[in-house]
Amino acid sequence: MSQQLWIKMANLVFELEKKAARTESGPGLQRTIARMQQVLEEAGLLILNPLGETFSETRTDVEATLVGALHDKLSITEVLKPIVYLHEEGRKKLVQRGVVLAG
Amino acid sequence: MSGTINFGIDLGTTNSLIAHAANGGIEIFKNPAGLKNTLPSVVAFRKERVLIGDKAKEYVEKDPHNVLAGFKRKMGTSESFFIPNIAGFKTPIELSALVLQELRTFIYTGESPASVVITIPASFDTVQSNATKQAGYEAGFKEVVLLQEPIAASLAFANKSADAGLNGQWLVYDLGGGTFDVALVKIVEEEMKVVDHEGDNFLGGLDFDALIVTQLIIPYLEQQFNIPGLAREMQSAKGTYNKLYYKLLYKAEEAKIALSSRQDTDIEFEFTDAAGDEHDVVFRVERSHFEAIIREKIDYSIRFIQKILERNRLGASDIREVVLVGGSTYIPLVRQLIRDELQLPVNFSVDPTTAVAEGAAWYAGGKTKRVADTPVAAGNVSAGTTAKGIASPLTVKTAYQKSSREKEEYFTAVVGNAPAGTTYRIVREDGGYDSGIKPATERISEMLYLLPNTQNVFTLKFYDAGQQLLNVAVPPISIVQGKFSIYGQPLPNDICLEVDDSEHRSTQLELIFEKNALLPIKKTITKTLSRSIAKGSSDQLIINVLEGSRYASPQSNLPIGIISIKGADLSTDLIKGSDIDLTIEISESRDITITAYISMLDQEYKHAFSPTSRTVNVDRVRDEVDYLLRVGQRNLDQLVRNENYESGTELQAAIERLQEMQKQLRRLSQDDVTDLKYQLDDEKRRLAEIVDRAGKDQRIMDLKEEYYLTKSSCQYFLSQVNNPSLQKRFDDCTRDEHEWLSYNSSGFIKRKMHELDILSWDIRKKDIGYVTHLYLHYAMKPDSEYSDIKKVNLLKKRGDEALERKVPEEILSVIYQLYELLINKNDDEIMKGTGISG
Repeated sequence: MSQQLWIKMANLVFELEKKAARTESGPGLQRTIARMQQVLEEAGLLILNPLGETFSETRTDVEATLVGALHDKLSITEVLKPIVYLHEEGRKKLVQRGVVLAG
Repeated sequence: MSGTINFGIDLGTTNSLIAHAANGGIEIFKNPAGLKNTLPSVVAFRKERVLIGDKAKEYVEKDPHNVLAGFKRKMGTSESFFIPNIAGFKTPIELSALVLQELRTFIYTGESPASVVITIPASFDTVQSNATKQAGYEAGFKEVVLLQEPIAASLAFANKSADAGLNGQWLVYDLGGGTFDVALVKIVEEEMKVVDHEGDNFLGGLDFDALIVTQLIIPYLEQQFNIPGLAREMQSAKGTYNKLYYKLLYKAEEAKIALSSRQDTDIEFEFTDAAGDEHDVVFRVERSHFEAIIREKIDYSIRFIQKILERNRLGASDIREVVLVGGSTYIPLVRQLIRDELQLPVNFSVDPTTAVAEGAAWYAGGKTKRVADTPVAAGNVSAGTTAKGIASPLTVKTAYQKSSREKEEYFTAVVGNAPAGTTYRIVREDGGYDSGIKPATERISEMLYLLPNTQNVFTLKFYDAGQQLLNVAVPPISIVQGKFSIYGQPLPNDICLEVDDSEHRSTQLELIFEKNALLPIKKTITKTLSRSIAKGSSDQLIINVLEGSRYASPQSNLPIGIISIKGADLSTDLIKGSDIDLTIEISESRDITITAYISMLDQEYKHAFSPTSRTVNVDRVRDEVDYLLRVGQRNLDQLVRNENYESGTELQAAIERLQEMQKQLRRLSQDDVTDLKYQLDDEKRRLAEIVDRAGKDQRIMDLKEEYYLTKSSCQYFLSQVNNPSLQKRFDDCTRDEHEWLSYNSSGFIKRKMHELDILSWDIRKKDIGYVTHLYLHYAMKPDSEYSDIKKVNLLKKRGDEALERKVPEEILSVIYQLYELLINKNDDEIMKGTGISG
């Protein structure tokens, strides 16, 4: 499977996880999601959800839209797409910047 | 060295790109941070640092005085921008130079071009053109050749089309993210020229995204959820739904892209209303709706074409085609309206987002350069010399913590004798951090953002006032996050799971946590069952977690946690191939928790093991002792044959003791309350080492010899096919060979041989000569070796016919079926195993 398809799959699993968290789904669904994440991990992907983390102008791992007034302590308030790194030949490489809202 | 310029830059109003002509093709260099082809033409002055591109763009709306975009429109004017954060002015030339310098960092090939082709809009006059040249010089280029954007685009299309070279006259329609241009181009006296042009600096794809939100989604939300004044609340910076507006703009862009290839798409999002109620919305956008709302804008752009045609007294038949440039020309309506309204053929054979840069590179590839490139010395160059070779006294002493549990780590360095205007930049190797450009003062400091649980490697580079890279030898900044810290204890040994090795009819170890992994640690893996376990049977599924060396045999490792799921306890049969999720967790104080979830039963088994309460499964020990006896006896025979009586004596004693243990274990019940089972388990591990060791040297030597033979024959087969993907498999398999051969692990070497065998097979199964030979081998076996002669004869008939057709796959299918009918396939010491596939 091509790298782009793996990344697409990672985004879908991420969305599914978000939806499952909102709808208070049962342990079965959570478990299946965890297994999907495991498969993505085995494919060499490291998927990070930066929700709640500090946002800084030096973070090139996210593509942010700044919401509200600008101030010194911005944090990531919403994540539309996760950060994805690919582990290849012993090194990690950013393959998708997270798409976030920060404020 | 090539004598042509080769590098072309599309210095756009909204986005810029850099491309390279080499080996008869064009490569668009990607932004190392973010991996896009494009760099937004935006510069931000954020307090002490300068950001260029995507990060700068993030601040453009919130901090417009310090973040500048669209400055290309002001090229060649006397206008300067006052930047409060630096309390100074910047000219459009200086800002463009920063964008050009940033594009230079995209060049990963190590080249440092002195000459470049830069594109300019058709509308640029002499002053604006010279200003662009000046920006190129300020960015460090020694020679700047300008090329009009419509001509660049035309070149890209001309080089793509089969009938190389455009004839007559044509239009270049460039609809980008924020700007629109159309140009009439023709060949005049064998030279491509822009004859006329028109444009609008405020029309592009961003307008279409906003229209989807304002014309389609907001009216729907207002009606569906009865939210009065939603549009105002979304578009006002202080509005209740301002965050939702930005989120929807992003979703709208995704939908717009999807609608270029599909008739409809769903925009999914969630939002919380003012009353605190959460809503999940799935909003369907049909292409026809999207086209209806953008139609007016596209019509508006087409009127520019009509104006050009009228002004030049041209009809549709005078125009050869319309060349489409800019990402927004992917929209089918754009293509359709140009075709239908103007009766003009459209050409979209080149990626419209990169066409201008591509064309610039094509042009550069044929343009002889007049100055030599600046060599960038790689490696260990004496500290503090510029690329020009002028001595510089710049010195750097760095200080930082090499391991950290924090998400950010403080870095500082003392910089000596930096000339005025020297800047520095720190970038993380994986692309997730960039300090931006900062002035190199006597002491520099930075909070470095770290990627969790990994080694973070940063590079620190210095630039002179002209933004030329200084060859200062600064070692990479390496910080390990989350590991080897005093807060966590490393594991002293590997932790493995025992799994079945169906190939060798025994069990083997599969690594879960590597030695030195930091505690606490947790991992979930999914395995499949290697055999069925019948409900009510005495068979059992064993999850055995062991501590020791991953290269040793399972029997000589220390079991630290075991769960057995017995047939007697099952509510239904467990079927071979079904999945089992295993979660293994080890706390800092070494408590081990194993959780097994069998999906077909929807049942979870969880057991916590602590180092003080060891668990021994008697049935399992019994199986292992039986297995050790069989292997031990075979090793003893080998030693006797080799007249190695010294090792043989030790092994003989071990075998006798194993025989006694076998009897003791037969008498022992599973729930025995004495210490005997622990003693027997300990003793079994000691004896396993003797069995393992006996004759191991000779076996390992034989195995290594066998491995080299397998490898060499695989290499031979590879040399016959010239297949890079198979070659990569071979390289992966034999990587670090010297290191793992030195472990003397027979199991590991066997696994490597097995991998090579599979690879050899994958190569040879396509070779008709080999497959024919193989078929004949099975077809000529005596009937007595097969179980069903009637079926064998039928297969031979089919096989003979397949031989005539010479299709390897068909012959192979017959071979597989013949093999299955063999009475004695391959028998070896069989161990019952764990029930978990390796």
